[in-house]
Amino acid sequence: MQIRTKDDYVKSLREQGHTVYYNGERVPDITTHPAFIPHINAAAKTYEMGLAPEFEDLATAVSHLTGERINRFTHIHQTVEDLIKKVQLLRAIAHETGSCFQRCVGWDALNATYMTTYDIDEKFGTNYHARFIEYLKMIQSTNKMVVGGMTDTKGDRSKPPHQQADPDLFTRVVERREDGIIISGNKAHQTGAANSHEILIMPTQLMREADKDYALCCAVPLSSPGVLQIFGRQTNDERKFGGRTDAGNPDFGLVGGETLIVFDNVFVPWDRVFMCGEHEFSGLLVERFATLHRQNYGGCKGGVSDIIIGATALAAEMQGSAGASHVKDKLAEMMHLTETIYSGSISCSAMGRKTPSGAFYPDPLLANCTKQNVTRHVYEIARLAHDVAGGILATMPFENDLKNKEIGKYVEKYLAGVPGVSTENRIRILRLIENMTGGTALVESMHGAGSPQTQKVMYGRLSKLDMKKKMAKKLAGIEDEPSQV
Amino acid sequence: MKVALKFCGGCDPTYDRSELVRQVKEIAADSIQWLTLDDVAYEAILLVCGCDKACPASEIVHASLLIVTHHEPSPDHVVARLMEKGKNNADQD
Repeated sequence: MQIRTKDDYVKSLREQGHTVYYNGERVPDITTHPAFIPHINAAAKTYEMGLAPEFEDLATAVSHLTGERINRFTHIHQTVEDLIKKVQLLRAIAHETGSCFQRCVGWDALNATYMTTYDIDEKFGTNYHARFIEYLKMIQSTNKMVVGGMTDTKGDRSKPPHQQADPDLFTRVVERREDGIIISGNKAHQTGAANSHEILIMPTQLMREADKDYALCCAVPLSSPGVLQIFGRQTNDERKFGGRTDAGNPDFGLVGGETLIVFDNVFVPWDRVFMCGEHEFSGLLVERFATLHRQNYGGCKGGVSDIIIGATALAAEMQGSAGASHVKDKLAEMMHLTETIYSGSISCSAMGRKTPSGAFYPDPLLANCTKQNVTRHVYEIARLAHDVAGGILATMPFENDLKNKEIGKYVEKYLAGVPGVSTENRIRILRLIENMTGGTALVESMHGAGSPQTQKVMYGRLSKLDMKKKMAKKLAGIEDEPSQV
Repeated sequence: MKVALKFCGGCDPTYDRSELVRQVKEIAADSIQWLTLDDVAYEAILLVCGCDKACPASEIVHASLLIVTHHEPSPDHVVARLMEKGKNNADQD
């Protein structure tokens, strides 16, 4: 069945019956649980916008495999324009959700695996790429949501996978059989996994010969026997359980909704295995996934920042400080930072190039710079929002206090801003800022798509330092000397 | 008159494109039958773009293409321009 509408999507989640735990209890139906509904609503936007004339130019594409119009989140980038449209789409959806909508991670996994299976086959004569194309056709025709599974918990970081005290701290092949493989291990921080259909597992890092059992790429339905998920706690998560004002952004998630996924002896048939021991390509797959994912952040976080800027401007207007020059300056700075991260995503897309597989790939150095900027600029945007909004952001009473017959009048009276604006609306805007700029929401900008240091490691490899030194020597009139580095 | 309606993708629009189209449709009422680019027999195309970049414009070739960006003054003007384009098309026929 093809998932087209939000209703189709919700129904598919209800029927797939995967195993998800929340706060110590198994959740019988995530589609009716208040902790999951906001995340489902956010991901559903990727389906809804594909059907909306106002967005279909970005939200859909034509499959290079079948010629059919498909949801862009299942598309393999065929041109630089596709790369740019990806970033534009992410900003557009963030304007609708004000939060992560989760589906880019699987999209990036599909593209990275497409490129890399081609390269593995070229070197080793395997048939992973043909297998993957069949899998991709199924995903494109059914429009299933895929989570890209890269991050293992890693245990003792000073040791490679095969030297860990517990071998399952990295996802691995336990057994090779005639009909497939058995895998065990885990994937952490899995954005949108609770409301996805499939996981596309990739290695978490470059693997060596001794770790070839961990050089694994395969696709697993999340409802498979042996797969279970444990949902991650978020800042103020239970506010989504009750009133709408306190929730800030009541209909959508605070972040992507991350889970720890456990694989306990899970069977994977060979037609879903796309790397099994070819450790020479593990680093390339990781690098490609990371680059494709880092490309995104100026799009989605740019869109989220647009909402924060709008909310901050409204908060200032509602309290009568919008005319102050320092407030105008801070809003201008927030705009500058937002467009800076967006321009990074656009530039790495514009400088994209064709890989041997035919799929297009963003410029990795520029993509890494974009994500590095997001780890800083989104925090600064949040800081400025807090500055303009004022201390009231952290001290407002409960929604129930406003509604209380005895004390509601005092909340109404003393939290009032400029005449003509209701106290409730002022609180709503402040709660929206609080929701989007604190705790878990910020950490997503820091560590999503890789921690800041992982981008700096890439700079060392990609930034052509030798050429920079050579240019400096030339201008300084220094002749090359053998002893000079 | 038959008009195909097409939106840009709406990555960062400078105005509410849906609201503009709602007003255009209200003003045009029965005088315009709305189609999509997948249909064939339209006399003009209304391309509603969120900004001056007008991304889809380079992919659309049609004698009676009206591109609306944020500079476009009003829904009345959009309807008038469309009717004018339809009339010009009829004159050419």
